[in-house]
Amino acid sequence: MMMRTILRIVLLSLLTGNIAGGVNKSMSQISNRSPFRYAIVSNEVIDDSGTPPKDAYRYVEVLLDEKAFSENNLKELFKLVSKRFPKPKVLHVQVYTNLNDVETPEEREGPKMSEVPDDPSQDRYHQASYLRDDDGNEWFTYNPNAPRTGTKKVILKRS
Amino acid sequence: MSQDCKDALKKVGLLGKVTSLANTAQVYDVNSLQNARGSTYVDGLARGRETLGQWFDRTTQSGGAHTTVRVPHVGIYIRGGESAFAGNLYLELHEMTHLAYPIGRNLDASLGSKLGLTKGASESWSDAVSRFFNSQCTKKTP
Repeated sequence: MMMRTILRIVLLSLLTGNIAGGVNKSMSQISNRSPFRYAIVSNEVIDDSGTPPKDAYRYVEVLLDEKAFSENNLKELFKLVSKRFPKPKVLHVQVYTNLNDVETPEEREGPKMSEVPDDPSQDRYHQASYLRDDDGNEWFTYNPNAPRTGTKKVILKRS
Repeated sequence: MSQDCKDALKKVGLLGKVTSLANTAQVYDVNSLQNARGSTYVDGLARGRETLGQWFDRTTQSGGAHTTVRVPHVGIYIRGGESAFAGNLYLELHEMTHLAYPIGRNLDASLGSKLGLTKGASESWSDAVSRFFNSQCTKKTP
């Protein structure tokens, strides 16, 4: 009887230990999880203005979870991307919230022309565009009421 | 170029490129090339056997211009060629800036957002970029 009780206590403590360990592990995973989902789908540095390049800039495209699209989350997102890419100074980030809006590699490499009428199918989903300029100013514009096409500008930093 | 335009382009890293393009950009006179096969110049932007003149008139408002990139003949297309920009230098600057920044799905949308412009609900991105350059780079909002 005594032996059985001791065994029960040992088993119980092992179990609770394991459970606690499991909880701790998943807690650490949760704390590491970003508050919203996004992926960087394109990242290129263009520095074709001589040696050393004076006009280099980086162009990044981000696909953001549509459910996470809000002015506050965009502020957080641009803070993260700007921190990730400190160089070159000029950084342009384009945010899409639907895969339909992201160009395939073939489309990206295909012919383009300016002054085309806006395609309403391209205004269906939320989008945003961020810029960090050569003087360190930062701003972004976004379409708060997609599919309506007006944009709102938010200044993050004025140097 | 106005000081406002110089400042705006410098801030976003495009002034050097635009300045060098002022001497090197190809400007095509659609009047003299209008019977040429469109696809020879602008690849898939032209439909089937469309001529360059037919492509241009189908896609351009009167007095307008187009910049094309990632095509066999990259450059600015306008009826009258270089001389058509006389008295309309900010249209030429607008087009050269497209050559300097040939990025994104819609060249006007990406350039407009890079320049920090806001687009009115009744405007296209092309309208917004034209408004900015036609105001000598002062009107960033509708």
